[in-house]
Amino acid sequence: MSRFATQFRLRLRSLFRRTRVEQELDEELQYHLERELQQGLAAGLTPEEARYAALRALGPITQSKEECRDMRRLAWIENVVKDIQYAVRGLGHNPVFSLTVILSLALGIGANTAVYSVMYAVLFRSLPVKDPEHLVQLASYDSAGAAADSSVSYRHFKDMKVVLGNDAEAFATRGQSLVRASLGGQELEPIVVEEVTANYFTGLQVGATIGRVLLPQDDEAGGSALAVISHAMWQRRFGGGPSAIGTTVKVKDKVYTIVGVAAEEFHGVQAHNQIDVWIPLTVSLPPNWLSSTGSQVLAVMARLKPEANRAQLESTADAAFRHFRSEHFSKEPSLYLRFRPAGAGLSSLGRQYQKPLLILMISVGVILLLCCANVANLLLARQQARRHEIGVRLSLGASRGRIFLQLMSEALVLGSLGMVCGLGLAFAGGRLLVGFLAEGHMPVSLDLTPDLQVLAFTATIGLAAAFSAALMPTLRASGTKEVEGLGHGVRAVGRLRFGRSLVVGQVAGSLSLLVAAGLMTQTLRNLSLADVGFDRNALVAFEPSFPDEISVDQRAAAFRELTQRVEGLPGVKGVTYTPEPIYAGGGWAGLAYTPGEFDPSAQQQVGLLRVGPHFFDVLGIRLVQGQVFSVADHQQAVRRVVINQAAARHYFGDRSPIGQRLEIRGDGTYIFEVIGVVRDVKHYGIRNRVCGDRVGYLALNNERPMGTVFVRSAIGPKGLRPAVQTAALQAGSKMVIERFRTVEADVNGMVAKERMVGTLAVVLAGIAITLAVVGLYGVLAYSVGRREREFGVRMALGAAPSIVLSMILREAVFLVGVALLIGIPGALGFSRLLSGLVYGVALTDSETFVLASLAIALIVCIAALIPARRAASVDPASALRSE
Amino acid sequence: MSKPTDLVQGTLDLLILKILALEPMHGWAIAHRIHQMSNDVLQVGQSALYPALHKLEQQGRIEAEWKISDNNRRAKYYKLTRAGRKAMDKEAIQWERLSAAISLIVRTA
Repeated sequence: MSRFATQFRLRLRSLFRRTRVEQELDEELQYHLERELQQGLAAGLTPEEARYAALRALGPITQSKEECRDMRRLAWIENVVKDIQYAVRGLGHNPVFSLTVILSLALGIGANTAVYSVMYAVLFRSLPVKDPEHLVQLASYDSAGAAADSSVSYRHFKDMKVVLGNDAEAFATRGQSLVRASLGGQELEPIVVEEVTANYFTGLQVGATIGRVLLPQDDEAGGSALAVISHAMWQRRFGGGPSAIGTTVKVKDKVYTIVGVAAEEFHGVQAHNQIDVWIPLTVSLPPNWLSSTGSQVLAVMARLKPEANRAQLESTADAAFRHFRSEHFSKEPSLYLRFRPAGAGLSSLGRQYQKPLLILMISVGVILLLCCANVANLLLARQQARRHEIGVRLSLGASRGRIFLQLMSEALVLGSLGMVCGLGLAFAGGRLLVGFLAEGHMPVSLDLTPDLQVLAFTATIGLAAAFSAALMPTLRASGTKEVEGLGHGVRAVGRLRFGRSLVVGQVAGSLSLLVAAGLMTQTLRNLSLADVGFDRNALVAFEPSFPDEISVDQRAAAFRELTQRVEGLPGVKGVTYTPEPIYAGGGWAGLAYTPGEFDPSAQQQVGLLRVGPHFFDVLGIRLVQGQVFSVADHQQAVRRVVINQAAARHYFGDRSPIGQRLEIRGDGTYIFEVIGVVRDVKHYGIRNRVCGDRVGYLALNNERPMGTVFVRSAIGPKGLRPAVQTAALQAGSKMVIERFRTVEADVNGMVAKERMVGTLAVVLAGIAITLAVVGLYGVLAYSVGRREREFGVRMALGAAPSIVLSMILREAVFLVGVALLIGIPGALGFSRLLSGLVYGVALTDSETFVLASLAIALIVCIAALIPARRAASVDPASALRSE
Repeated sequence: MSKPTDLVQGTLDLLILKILALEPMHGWAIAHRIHQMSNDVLQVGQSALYPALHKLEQQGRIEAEWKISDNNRRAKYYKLTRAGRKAMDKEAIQWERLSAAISLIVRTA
């Protein structure tokens, strides 16, 4: 082994200490020349003659130096190339083996790369701007340290800008929205628009492809209505031509002139959104929003100057932030400000999916380990089969190091091929994964083209996987004793132990994934069956929308007519509307208390929802006491409120709330009469508790109907949609039906995270169990093969085949037992990760654990039957005869 | 001095190994010794010698060490390794067989 070390050092030397080596060569040749000279002089030549003769005998010096160099280089490369050639040839002779290994590695590597590429795109990838590490988001946190809603008003933003002074450039965005727009007079399909401050582009340091971006001076002249479009949009709509500059784009009510196209790589500050048009928010926001403190719609980011003192700046900003809030929001809970690194942009999606993606990452990591275990077993089997060959080579003088390197290179060739196939798998897998991500109804588009980082990740885990799988087998193989290799020595005991421990690990790993799958499946079932408080079947929703020029009165009239027409459609059981989100959270809140008992310290917040006629009826919200709004209630301004059970319990305890009064402080403070109590509805999502679940419903005035329309009908959405669209056309005023969907789908969309983890957990558990079964089969088959003679003897001595069968099965059961012993604590730990995702089932649900363990035990035993039956069917005579 | 006879590269390797089997020596001494022991027939120039020495070093058949030589100057001394000795024996057998076969044909033809 020491010779190997010297050789290795030599190679390193010729690579890295090249000048030194060259110098030495020079010295060596110089010495040779001198000795020739000396010899010449001693032979009696004159100094010039001696020198001449020496040089002639030497031959051209540069050429030989070159040759020496070549010799060194050649020998090194020669070895590497020879190794690879040999490895490829050997693998070609065993296609089944090679393919199995490559596919196993591809599976593990591909899955990991897929998850990592999504994680990278959503969470880590830097924005394509200069020095993203200097970008921060001004984020708020509550007193408990949890992230709070960081949106602020334009006034507050201006305040922050001043406070940060010259040390940072603060800019803000209202975020993206899907809007209808028209381009140069032509109507467009809905595009994604982001409303930003004029220094957005300069703050981010994003340039323009043609024309220019928005500049800070654009804000000064009271806001010029300019716009910047994205590169993608430029290609789509203008074919990349110069006509884009100067074209007008009309968004909502206002017209903007395009002054430039943003840089190609830039898509906005959220990784998963592709912005089409950027417009200045000083123009697009209603003027009262710009001046009030109540319209908190902006996310603020800043680019810190490199020389700025970050900590100091942060505390200055924090102090100013809290001061502003104490002045204008004294009654609200206090928040503090911190700089959150925003080099990867703002990512609400990222934060939401951070945990699920982490769980997935760990799960596919487990899968990779299982794959490596199988590959290790396969390699072990193969090296075993080549004992003879290795023994011969060793006795012919090959060094162990050489053999080790050569076997390793085989593994690395397999690993590289596995990586390449894995990349292909990863591409498909990544797209699948993105399909699970959802954020409300905004389209999620992630650029998954492999970044350098992702490729580096793939290469790293690929090589690590191949190397670690091959290490043990290769060490054992190159440690083969010469004698043993040439003879028929049996060194199988060690191999069996190794194989067995791998299988135990595999089964234990599968258990964790199976338990997770079980928990998540139950969660999904519970979520889909969860009582949300209203009947979500046979219910569709849509939003009527109008072009800008339609007046408010026209819209109201058209809306009313639409509801009437839809009511009259065959199969429709009821129509209602409300401008509030009724199952996604958000919406108003106010304070409610029995008159005269206002107590700022008590829990008196209540959610306030304005609802249209027949609301409770159409949505199937059960009335518990009293009555719901009559049609008349929607026609004048009445001070009547319907409350839910939680509110009733809170304010009135056991007394009947009907006829009682509540003072409600929302837009103003008024006294309302409670006319009815309805069942609790989960308005804020299935899992969230807001305002103690207390809700008050107010009658929306018929004069200004608006919002989302809900229709309960016996016909499915496919049949209903065209009828509704016809009704919209007939109602006139160029009304357009947007986002026609079933409520069921909507509610399901709200549990996208759980669905992603649940579906994938099941898939991964299936893969893991398959891998474990394959591994187990391999080990058991080998064990049986080794003991054929033993079984032959037993059966010849009168043992029934069933005894042999039970012996094998006992071995399998033993393996499973040990695996479960290790696996159950492991699964308990793994299931901890799922906290926050599971619903309606405990993380340590004993039923799930027991069922999963039984399932695995059963599968393992069934898998063990095949080698077991083979053992039992051994012919005693031939077994005894064979060697 | 007579024109150096062309030597096949592999044969030169064998010669170098054989010389070094006697004692470690530096490049010039090897060439000198070959010249001597072959009765002045074989003359190895540095353009053939040093590439061969470097290759043998890379292959791990010889090891090098810088020492002070007999004329009080620094020189690179080469020494045979265990693997080199094994290889030398193998090659020597090969060479015997080969040259015997060639002689057979050359003499009878």
